Amino acid sequence: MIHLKNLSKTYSTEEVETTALNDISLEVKESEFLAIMGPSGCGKSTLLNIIGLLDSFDSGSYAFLEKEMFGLKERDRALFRKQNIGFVFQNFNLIDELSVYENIELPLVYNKIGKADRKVRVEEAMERLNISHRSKHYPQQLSGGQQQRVAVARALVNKPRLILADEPTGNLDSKNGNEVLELMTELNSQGATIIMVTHSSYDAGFSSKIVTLRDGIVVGEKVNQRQIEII
Amino acid sequence: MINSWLKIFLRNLKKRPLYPLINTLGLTLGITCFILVILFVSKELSYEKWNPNLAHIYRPIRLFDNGEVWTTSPGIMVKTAKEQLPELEDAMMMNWMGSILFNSDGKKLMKGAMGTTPNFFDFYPYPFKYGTKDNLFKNENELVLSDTFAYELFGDTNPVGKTIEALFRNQPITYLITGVYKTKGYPSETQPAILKLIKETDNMDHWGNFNYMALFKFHPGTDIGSFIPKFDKFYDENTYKSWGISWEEYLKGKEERMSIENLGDIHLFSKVHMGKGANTIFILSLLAFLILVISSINFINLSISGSTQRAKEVAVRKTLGTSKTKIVLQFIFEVTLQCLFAIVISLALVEILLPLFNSLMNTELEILDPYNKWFWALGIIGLLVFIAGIFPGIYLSNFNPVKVLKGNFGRSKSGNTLKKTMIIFQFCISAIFLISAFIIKSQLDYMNNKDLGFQKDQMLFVPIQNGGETWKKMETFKQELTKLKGVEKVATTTRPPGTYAGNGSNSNVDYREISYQTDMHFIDADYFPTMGIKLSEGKNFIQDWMQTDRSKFTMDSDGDTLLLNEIIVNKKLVDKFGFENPIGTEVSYWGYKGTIIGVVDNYISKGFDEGAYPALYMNYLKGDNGDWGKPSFVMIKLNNQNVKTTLNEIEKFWTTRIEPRFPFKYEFLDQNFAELFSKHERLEKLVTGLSILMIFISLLGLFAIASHTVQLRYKEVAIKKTLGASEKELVFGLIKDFILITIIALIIALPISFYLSNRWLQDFAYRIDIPIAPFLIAPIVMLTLTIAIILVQAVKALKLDLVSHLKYE
Repeated sequence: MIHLKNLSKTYSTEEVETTALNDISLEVKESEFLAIMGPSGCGKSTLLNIIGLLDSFDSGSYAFLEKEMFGLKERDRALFRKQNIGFVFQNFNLIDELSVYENIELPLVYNKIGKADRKVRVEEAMERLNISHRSKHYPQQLSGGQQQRVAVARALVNKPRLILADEPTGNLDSKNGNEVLELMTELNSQGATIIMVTHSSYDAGFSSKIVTLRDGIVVGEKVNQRQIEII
Repeated sequence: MINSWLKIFLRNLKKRPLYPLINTLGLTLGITCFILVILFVSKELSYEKWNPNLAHIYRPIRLFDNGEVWTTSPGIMVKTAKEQLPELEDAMMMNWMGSILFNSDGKKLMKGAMGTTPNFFDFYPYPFKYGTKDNLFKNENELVLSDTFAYELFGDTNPVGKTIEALFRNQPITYLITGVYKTKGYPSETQPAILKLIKETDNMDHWGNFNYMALFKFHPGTDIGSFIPKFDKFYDENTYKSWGISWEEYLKGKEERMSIENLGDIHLFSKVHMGKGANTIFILSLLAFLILVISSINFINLSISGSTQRAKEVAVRKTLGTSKTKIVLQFIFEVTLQCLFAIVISLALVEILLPLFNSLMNTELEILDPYNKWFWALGIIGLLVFIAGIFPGIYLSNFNPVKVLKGNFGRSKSGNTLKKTMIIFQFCISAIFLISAFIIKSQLDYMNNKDLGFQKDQMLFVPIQNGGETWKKMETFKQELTKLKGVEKVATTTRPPGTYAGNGSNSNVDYREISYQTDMHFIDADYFPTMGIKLSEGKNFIQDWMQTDRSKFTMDSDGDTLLLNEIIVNKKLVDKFGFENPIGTEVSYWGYKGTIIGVVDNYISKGFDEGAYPALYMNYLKGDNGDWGKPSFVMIKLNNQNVKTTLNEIEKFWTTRIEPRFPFKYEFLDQNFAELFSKHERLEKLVTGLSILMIFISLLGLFAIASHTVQLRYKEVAIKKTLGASEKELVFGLIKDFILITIIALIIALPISFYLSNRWLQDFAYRIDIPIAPFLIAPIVMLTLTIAIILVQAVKALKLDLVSHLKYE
């Protein structure tokens, strides 16, 4: 599904040039649950953002569903993104002014899904994540775990082929964190491809494959033998 | 601590100069306007206020039942009042005595002289620059001059004791200068350039001749309220006796009464202004106040917006143990610095703009006039500083430091509503002014282009200064003037349109039992053709001078002799009296019985405020009756070619042949007429200028608020973008609120503007229908500007770096 080949990215300020990703090659197959691990500043979020088409890269190639992403215009990237990718962030990134329902509905609005259809799908997503009773609430009125569930609901409501999660448990306690991870495993088992950035090896344990980055280089890649049972 | 505050302030200024700069700029403009207007208003309000006797000095006035007001008095009435009314401590009289032509070292200067009773300086205690107030006005050869005129005549030297050669009423006279009084810093309606002793024989003994300006000084403690009816009765009793009619008969014809008004009210609040005297001041004060409010709102809005960028600093300070009060104080400190800066620049701007403002408003204002109260503005500004500082201070000091430090301080909904309300208010006011400016402009265009009913272009008029001699040869002069190249027609009149409308210029005209006030004109036979005034019925005069054939007279019912003559009237008079066949109808006025031989169209002679007024035209009077009924102006119609050369020719002819010893003075009728609506033109310029300024300030504010609001929404934009929102959707999402705000403001502004414009237009007898265009153009202009400004910000938001805003907001 995803083919990265010799992908590099550098950030430069007036004084220093930092290499965030250095010649990365990576393959993600359909229905894989990939965890990207590594210490702070190793480039794992940069990699995720590039895969999510939020960020650009300087050289190399990135093919998504066999289509080359390098040099794609912003407009096309946005189109690609909204049709295929769902995001879950560490800090949830819900819109404060919108209710739970409206937040979840947003990707459908942008994909020009009809109103009746939207309602069905939003309600389905809320049901699935057990937040239906909160549909009229605003993000500030929810706990962290609930907010992240809303974020996950928003990520999957459009039935994207790829879900990208950037430290989804970072702001949650272990109970809520577990719930989110189990949810992702479940989504994975239903066919969704998931890439998750984390620096917790416990979290990474939920994935099917772990890629370890250091200083912008892939230093390890291993297939995970599921150690953690779904409770 | 102040050091630390100052350091932070300066570093912030360097880092983010936009907010403080816009803030200070808006405030500076507001303060500058405010100070300029306060200068004007305090000058206007200061008239006569320096006079220590102000409370006891009143002017007698005559109030007519039809609303007309006369501000002059019969000489005999003033003299008798002083003798018979014990409330009066003193009374004084003045009247214009005509011009004196001075010949000072070959320099010819002509100036009107004011005759006065010797007690002038008891009523107007101006200090003396040269000489003293004692022993003045001993005879008619002594003059007291104003300092400005003395400077024109004598320069910087002390003229007291000097004599000067002059011509007065065509007689050579040597005048002695006995005093020079100071005018600067003593604003007054009465500051004659030349004061001389009044000639007590001029029309002094008739109770119906309202020829003198008079003032009464009352004993302290007089009950003015009960004096007024007593004064009216005093006048009536003396008058009916002097006219030799019965009391009942007198009361039957009484349509008016005597009253008084305080010296301090004369300038703005005199009854003669019909309550409109202070309109300009009122409008200006309102404008200035609104501009100050708008810039204050901006200031507060911007301070609050700018301060959120400081949330982190405040949070850290709070964490380190600063009290709330100190945070508020810190913001007040910063705001004070900005305000001080704004005030200093404003003062400089006022100094720079004052000459421009003076020429616009036709004033001579100075910052440091003793009667200026502009420093009041500082008090108001001080209050503003306090409010503007305390707002963001409290707003920020209420932040929860923990949340702020964690990088997610909430956006207060109520704060947003407050800001939006203030922007709506600003926009609303700006829109009202923009629309008003358009409408005033339309009315002015209308007035400038309307057919006035006479020719005002290329029409020169020259005052006759040496009456006696000039009148004798008027006929020849007219013929010779007409022969000059470039001159089309020549006529004479006592009263060119738009020039003369003072007391005594009108009189009652009677027809049987009906009587109407009518404008009286003496003209020659060439007047109507020259002026292009159309005769709608009957015929024009065939001679210039009235035929005073003594055999033609008649007696009225009272047995008085009435001279018969022929007159022309305007349509308005015909309409008022309801004449069906005006030609041949006889009306009586002044001791004449006039037969109407022609009717002319109404023309706009007094400006657009007043509608057509009944008018009566007759030929000049022969005989030795002074200026009365004699030609006072020569009207010369030029053709369009070489006006300058023609003018030179006329001047040459005038100064060599017609009035050799007098300076040649002339005016163009259109220019003179334009002065009739100069006050409207001033208002238009002011409102236009101020509304542009207001819109500018409001847009400055909008710009800052928009950039701030959009910045606050960066995270939202980033999220939506991540979820696949298109650019169109994003931009619309960002500008939608502001468009809504503008539309709400416009919806409020439109009916208010309509109402105000309608009110303003009611004051014109000749006016436009309220045009629709301004109500379309102004909203379009404002919406376009709003959208343009917000679009810039919104497009900036589109380009933002998604990743950083998703992560660290």
